[in-house]
Amino acid sequence: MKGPSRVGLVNLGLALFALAIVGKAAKVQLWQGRAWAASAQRQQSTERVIPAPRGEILDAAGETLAQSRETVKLDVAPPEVKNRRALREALIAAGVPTPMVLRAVDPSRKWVELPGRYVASHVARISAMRGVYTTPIIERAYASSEGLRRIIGRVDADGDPVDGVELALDAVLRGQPGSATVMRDGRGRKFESPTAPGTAPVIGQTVMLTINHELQEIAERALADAVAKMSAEGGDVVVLDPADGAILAMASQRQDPRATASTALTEPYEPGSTLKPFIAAVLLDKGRARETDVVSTFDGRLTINGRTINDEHRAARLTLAEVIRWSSNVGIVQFAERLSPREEYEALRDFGFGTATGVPYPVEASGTLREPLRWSRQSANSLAMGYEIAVTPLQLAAAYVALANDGELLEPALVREVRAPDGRVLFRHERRVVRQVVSPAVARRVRTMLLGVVEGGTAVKADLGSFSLAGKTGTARRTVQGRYALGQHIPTFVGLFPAEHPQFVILVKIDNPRGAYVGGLTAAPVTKAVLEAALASRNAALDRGTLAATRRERPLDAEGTARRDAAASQVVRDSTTASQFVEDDAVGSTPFVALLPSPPPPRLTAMPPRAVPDVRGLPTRQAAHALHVAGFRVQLVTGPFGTTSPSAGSLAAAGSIVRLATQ
Amino acid sequence: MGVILRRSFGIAAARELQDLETRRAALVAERLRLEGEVRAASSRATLQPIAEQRLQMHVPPDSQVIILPRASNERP
Repeated sequence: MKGPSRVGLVNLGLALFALAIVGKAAKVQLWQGRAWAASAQRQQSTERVIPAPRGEILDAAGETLAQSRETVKLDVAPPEVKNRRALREALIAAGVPTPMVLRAVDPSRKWVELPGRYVASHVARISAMRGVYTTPIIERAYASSEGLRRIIGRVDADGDPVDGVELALDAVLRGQPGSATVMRDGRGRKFESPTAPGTAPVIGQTVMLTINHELQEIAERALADAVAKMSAEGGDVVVLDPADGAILAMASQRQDPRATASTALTEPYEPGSTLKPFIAAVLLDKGRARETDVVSTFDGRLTINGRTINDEHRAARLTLAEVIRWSSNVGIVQFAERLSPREEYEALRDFGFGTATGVPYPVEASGTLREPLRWSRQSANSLAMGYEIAVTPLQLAAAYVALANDGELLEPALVREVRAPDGRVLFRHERRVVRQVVSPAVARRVRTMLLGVVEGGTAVKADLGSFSLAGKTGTARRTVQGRYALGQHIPTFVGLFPAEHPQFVILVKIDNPRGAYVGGLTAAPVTKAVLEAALASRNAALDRGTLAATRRERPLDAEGTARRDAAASQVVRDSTTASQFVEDDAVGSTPFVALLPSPPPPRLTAMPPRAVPDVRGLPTRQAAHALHVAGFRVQLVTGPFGTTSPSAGSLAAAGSIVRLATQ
Repeated sequence: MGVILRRSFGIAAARELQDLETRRAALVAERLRLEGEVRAASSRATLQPIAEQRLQMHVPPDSQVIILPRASNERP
């Protein structure tokens, strides 16, 4: 029998080999195909997370306060760089530090990470060079002012919120990251897979704050000027809209650079005499006193429960209105004795003291208001004077909102709107009444008393020439580590502007000023500066139509500013308010009631007429200023440029209108 | 051959799309940066010191502020 030929064996071997190849191919493609395909996919492509930009933070007018933008981080693989000279020059031009540039073009290094973030268009030429790798980074850009940063907060290098609104509303602001499948071509260049498009990132929601940027800047500037001028350790300014409780501005300044939070929310303090109007309000509301009730103030010195209380303004007797006007400690302690400890505590509690306001901020102090069970013998007297209680500036301003708002305590608001990326409004702040603390009539009566504080009491430095301002000063001793620090004070002024229909509740607090330290000489002028700047600004959240109706005309002095005839206005105001008290409070009666005689209002002294100055040839601004300086009011009209009516040289009453032609 | 051509064309288109997207993102970032600079330059904090020091301007007292009434058909 013939064995297989050699050719046959070779053919058999080849056939078996071919069969093995086919078998292996079948195994790879049919049995292991999916695993190998997945492995190839892993080698050629990677999944990349696309970071989502955080939502914008806007002010009440829609101006951007914080936004995310894409920047790039540059890395260099020096061995891959072809044109080192061009790369070196481009990096230097982009502002990369020279030592890092030298590292980036050093071929002995394998990988160099360049510091900083760059706008992609600025480094486009560098990014296109071989050996340069870019990584997109979402960066948060903020409005630059310090006060706003305290409110808004910030995010860290990883995009995680650290403090402020950024942290409190992180769930709203944070977007939803997307994903992309990135493939590499033969040269290792990356591109997004056309067959696996991935998911686009969803931008975070837009948060619109109640802050008015213009007013915020005004408040910050005024506060910074005051702190520098008084060599103070810091201060706070809070401006609220009494119509809906919106926080319009909240400026804070501290010497300590570690204090980055908005201290108007986080640092409670003893408010001092700014608390007295609330005691007066509850006395009026409960019918325990009238504005005209008189108490003996013992020439400003009273020893009670082993403690001597002093007044700056020494008087033998004062009415309740005068107690508020002159901020008499002895007087308010005398009046507060008509309230039981429980009534006094509940009244202050109802004004919101001792409870956090609940604005969206990561941390807010609730202040201190102890229950009567924990009071000492002196606590009732201390509370009446604004001691043994700690409040934040925002709490105090919110309590004054209740007085400005006919007795309704409103919930302060920091967020006006939240919008989805497509513009849908998801949340809109609406006025929310917490409770009716006192009756509308009582709130108006307290406002009238506060008007007297500014027009003829402890806060005349805050008085405006053409608009009424009600308010209250306070000067409290400063505590350091739980003890009163010798010679250190915290003056405060809280104003309601304008007094008739308040549009602003403004609180100014100065920490430990050098020199003059009482609220009337420190915080009150700052309030005036803020209000003057707001009046001169176009976008400071003032309703000018309503404001024009409340404008009052006063004679102008030689410098063109309104002159206050204190004595005359004082008598007129007192007689007016005395009759108002009787009308408003027909039911209340106490043994201390003593209506003062109300003399007829004296006529204001007539001022002699004066000559209208010749302003022809002057620019309109200078012409108007010259007329103001001369004591006239100016109305701009059309006509021959520079002419006036009455004409130059003719006599006109001070304060009368002079029409100035502008064209 | 058809598969190779189709893939090559797809990859080239994807790369071009990627470049355009990168450029768009860069331009958006540039716009945001410029808007921020305009805001900072036109802010009160920047302008007020310049107005006070160079132009001797000042914030007027309230008595020098004239509030002009709006026409009845003019919206605030």
